[in-house]
Amino acid sequence: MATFTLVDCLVIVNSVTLSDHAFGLDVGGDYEEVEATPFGSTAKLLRKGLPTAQIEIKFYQDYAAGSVYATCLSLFQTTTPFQVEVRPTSAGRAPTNPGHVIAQALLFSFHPLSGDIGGMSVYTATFKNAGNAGMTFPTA
Amino acid sequence: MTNKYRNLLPLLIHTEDGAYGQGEIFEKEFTEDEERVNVESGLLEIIPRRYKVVGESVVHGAAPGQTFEAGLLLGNEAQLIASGNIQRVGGPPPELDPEPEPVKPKPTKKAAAKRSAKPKE
Repeated sequence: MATFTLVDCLVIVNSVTLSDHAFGLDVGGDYEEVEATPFGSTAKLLRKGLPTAQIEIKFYQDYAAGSVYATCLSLFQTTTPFQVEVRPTSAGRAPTNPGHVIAQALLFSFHPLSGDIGGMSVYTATFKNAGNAGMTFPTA
Repeated sequence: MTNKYRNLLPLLIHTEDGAYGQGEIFEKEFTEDEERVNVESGLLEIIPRRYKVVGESVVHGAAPGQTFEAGLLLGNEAQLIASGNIQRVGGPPPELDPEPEPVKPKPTKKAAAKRSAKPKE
């Protein structure tokens, strides 16, 4: 089984490729755990509720036109859902390089400027699902 | 902002300036929500238009300075324009799939010969 290191991830936010500013990713989701334990049970019974999905991306901040700040600011200021996709590598989608896609995402928080003296200005964006499809993993 | 749309379903869509059947193209100003609902339901397809990448990032696979064609939802287009990533190129959206002019069959040599052989009245 092949393993790999994250060196060439693809990051596309609302069709803008921001891979060259990204350096960290966390992609995932959780189902709500719904309690369904009746009297007489000898263990807790849980059922799956509704799932969440989110993609967290760490960027080096850039205030240039059309770069990280401008792109994310416009997404934060509107309520229109947009697509976010990341892939393990920048190659095309394939079974060995699936897209991790939230087709209708929203950006609920925006903290564009943080850091310490002498350090890189880093911005972490968390894109959360806002559509019925949740997260999908297309391979083509 | 308006977009051009193609009716994808066998329904008649009535707008201020006419009614449009399946496959026909029309221009209309929808709200962002109306447009999204109509596109996601499969009723309408956005006719792609041309954009220029004016920011410093690759958009829709096009490098800064290049152009690309896409059928963007009004909301997503507005986000990309507001962020300085893209701008519309040209004026109105391109006319796609106009009804082709019926092609008249060229007269064959035989037919031409027959015509010329007919006596004039």
